[in-house]
Amino acid sequence: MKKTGIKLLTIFLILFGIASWGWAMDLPDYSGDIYVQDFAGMISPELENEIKAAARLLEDRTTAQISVVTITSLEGNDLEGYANELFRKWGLGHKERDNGVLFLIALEEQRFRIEVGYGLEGRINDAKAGDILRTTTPYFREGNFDKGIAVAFNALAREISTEYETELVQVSEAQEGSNATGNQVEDPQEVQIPFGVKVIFVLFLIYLAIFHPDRLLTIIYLFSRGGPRGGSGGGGSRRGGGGSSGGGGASGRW
Amino acid sequence: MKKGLIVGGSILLVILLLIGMFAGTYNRLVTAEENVDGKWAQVESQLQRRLDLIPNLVETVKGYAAHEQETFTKITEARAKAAGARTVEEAAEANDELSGALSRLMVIVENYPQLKANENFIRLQDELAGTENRIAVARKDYNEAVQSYNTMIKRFPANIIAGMFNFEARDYFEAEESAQKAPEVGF
Repeated sequence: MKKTGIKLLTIFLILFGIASWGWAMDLPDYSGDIYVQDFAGMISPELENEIKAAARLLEDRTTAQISVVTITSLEGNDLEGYANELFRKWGLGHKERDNGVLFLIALEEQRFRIEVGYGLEGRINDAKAGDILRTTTPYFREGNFDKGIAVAFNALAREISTEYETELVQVSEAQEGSNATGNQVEDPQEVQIPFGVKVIFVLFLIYLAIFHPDRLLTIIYLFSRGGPRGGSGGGGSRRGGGGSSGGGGASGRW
Repeated sequence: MKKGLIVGGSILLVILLLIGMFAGTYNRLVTAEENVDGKWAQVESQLQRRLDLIPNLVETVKGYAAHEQETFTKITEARAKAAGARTVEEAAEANDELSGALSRLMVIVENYPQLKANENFIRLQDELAGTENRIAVARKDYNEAVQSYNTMIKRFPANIIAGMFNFEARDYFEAEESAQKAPEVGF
């Protein structure tokens, strides 16, 4: 009798844990400048620096933000929903102008999407976003991600410069680095945690909650005091401006 | 004499507090309801945007696939029905039907390579997919607003005020599973 009670409690806790963990989506946080977040390790360090510098300049001139994000896998989520939620979570673009653009690339699924903030939908309409993706498709197919990303970034930066009538900001498109394997993940903090490990972690938490609640509380306390993540990137890293998007843009596959 | 003053003052204070609470709750309800209306306006404008796209799309497809008359008729009918929808429920239903008809059109398109390569058509497809996706986002935002509003008017003590001022529960914009996915565009 007592055993079944514990079993039921455990099942309940697992379900509850999964439900609260799986709420909406498991979206990554960004570190450093928001302009490039290369979780899948598809972008060379040179291009990453170039884009960061160019995007920073562009934001200084226009308040608009471009963010290039690569992820290893969508993990079963649909691309459009993922892009929209990530856009909103990070708050791309200026809060009142909603002038952010997200270029999201999912390596495993070979799919990408340009999600456009409300404020830029007029300039970068869906067809134009689609055109930009189609232009970059051949480079992605070749495995020359750097070139594809540089071309897409330049096209987006061009539209934004036109919209705000400022001087053009571009990165070099002569990107030869065909790091097609995409295996050098730069930031060890961003390594994807396999599902099995998560399950074990949840089970461990349940075990603690049942048998050692005091220790669990200590752990929670320690984590809440600042956690393992230090303020990376130092002083001036650029955060999202609080902008939002409503599903405008285009998706494609390569 | 003094006692009376204290009692009177206390009663006044309690009344003022009650009025404050009452007003606060009432205002929260108004804000939540306005949020629902605002989100619904978003859904409607995206639905309208899709309706506006359809004639152009159908014309383009007709140029290459003139004999698929049955599909065109279905789309035109569904479009008329969606345009005439008055309630949230009607709109949800009609738009499901329209989504279904449009996805059948996209299946037919697969048989016409020339059409698929037409630049005008490709860009129309982008616009349609983008609009479908905007509808999905607007619907999600609207449903979230409805959920928080509906929860609010059922909770005590807001439910009393909601009852007094006729704040009524709103309908969700619900679509079938099959209609939730925007048509995919392959390059």
